[in-house]
Amino acid sequence: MADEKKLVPDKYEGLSIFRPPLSLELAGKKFDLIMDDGFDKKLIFTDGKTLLYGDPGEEKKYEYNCLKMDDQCYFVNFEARPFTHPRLGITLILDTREYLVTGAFATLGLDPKFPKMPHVDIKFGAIMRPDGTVPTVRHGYTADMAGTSIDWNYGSFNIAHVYQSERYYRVAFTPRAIERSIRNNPQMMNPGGGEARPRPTAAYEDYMDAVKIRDGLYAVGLVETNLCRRNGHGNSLFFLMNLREMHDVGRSFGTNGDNEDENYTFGAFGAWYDATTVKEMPSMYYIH
Amino acid sequence: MRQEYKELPKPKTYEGMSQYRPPLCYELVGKTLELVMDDGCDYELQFIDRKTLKYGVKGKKAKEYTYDCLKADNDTYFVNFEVKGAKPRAGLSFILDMEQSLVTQNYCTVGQNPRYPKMPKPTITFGAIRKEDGTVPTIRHGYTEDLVGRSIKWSYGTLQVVHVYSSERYYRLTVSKEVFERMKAENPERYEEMMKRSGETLYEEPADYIKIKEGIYVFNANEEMACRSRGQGNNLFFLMNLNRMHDVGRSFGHNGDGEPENYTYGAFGEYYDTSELHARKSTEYIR
Repeated sequence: MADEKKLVPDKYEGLSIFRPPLSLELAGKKFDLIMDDGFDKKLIFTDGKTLLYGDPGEEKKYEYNCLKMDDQCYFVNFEARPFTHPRLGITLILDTREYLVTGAFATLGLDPKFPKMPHVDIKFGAIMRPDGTVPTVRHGYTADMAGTSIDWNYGSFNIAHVYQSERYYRVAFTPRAIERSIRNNPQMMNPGGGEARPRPTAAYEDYMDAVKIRDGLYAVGLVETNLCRRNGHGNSLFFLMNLREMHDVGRSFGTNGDNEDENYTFGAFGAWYDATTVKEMPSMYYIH
Repeated sequence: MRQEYKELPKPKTYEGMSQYRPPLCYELVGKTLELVMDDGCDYELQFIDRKTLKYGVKGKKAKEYTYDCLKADNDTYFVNFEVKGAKPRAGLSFILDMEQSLVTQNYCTVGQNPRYPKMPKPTITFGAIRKEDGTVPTIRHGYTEDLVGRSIKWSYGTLQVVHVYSSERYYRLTVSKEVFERMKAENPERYEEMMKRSGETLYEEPADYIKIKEGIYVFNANEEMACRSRGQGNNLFFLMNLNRMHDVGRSFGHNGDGEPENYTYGAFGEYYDTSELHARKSTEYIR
């Protein structure tokens, strides 16, 4: 009998096995990114795996993942490997139809009290057109998501993201999500062998950024700062969601449950969810 | 008899509209606060006297700064100073909420953007003030949607503007009908130009809205579009008491002559109807 072979990736990949196939469409393409912070960048996709990124003339080589979310709209994620400390993860939403770019620049290791607290800066900018011009309009923060909730299926688990307002999100667990979690980990239901856990009276809430890319297409950033304060580590999650087709791609930047660095891409399918109960709970963390 | 007018002595630093602000508050003199901030650092803020405070990372050598303190509500203070010697240039403003032992901070820089050297960049950090018993609250001041859809006409003495709170992340700006009428009569060319421009583009800037407590809000506005069009824009940081319809705040950046400015002020407000402006689609942002 043949030995059982185990598939073991050479780096932590979390939920990435469930993501859509990577897009190679940008291989061979070059972009001049005109960023609103005044620091322009050059982005060169040398092939389907590597890109060059940095100040013009000082670009550095990175391995990247590119996921296509809509016609001429790409989610590109990369970070220096091996990981540097402090870490810098770069995610770019490239909208090559409107010649616009939105970047999420995530750092880890800058907080002296919580070294595994992620911090994210969102930066807007434009892509220089072939004729040398640059659009003046920008992707913008949106109120479109506020008040909605989506139950996302990431392959092995479900979670509902409740977009409480423009600046905060909450999490909710649908009956299906609870059923799947308990099937995977029966201890969750009855950790001490006694009665089932009581229902929470306040919701987990944390910071969110929601950016409109085009109609039905949104970039959403969620950070787990309160989780980090409680457990010592939390992640930055950054998604590009296509709500016309109800699926998303994204990346998780931070550390995994074993305290190892992680930065991997994933994908999910979503369904609108009524999270009224969670929305109406009082906030534990913030005065709104 | 002909009356002789004496020219008022010119202040050492540009003070903009600060002559119309409420009197400075000295209630914090003698107090030392430990600020436990969510960026992972703890700071000590010591009010030495009516003009000088000491500020720095806890346990390290603190520096002295000249400050203004304004009181917006009982136990709620707005403290502002220029961080002398900082590179890039920086201003620090605190909302000190002694009632709930909470603090909200704006560390604003200018000079960090190579394309627009006069573009301000505010960074807001939340935190808590350590209580006398050594404990620190876990709740924080939070971003709010309470103001979205409202507009307030603010009178700053010589200046009257209407702030239009268009979403949780942006604000729009206009003036009242009376100001438009006056402008039309006094300077028709400027009025026509303004009408044409506002028909083509909608003036809209990034903003933050933070709830301190019932009726007390922070409004942070960054004049980025203004900076891109005229080379200079300011960061405006207000603490508004909407129970009494007045605010205090500060302007950080550069004045019309290109000189550095960082001054405190105050205003009285009244709600104003700008439904038409609220309904217009943004010309600057896809949102």
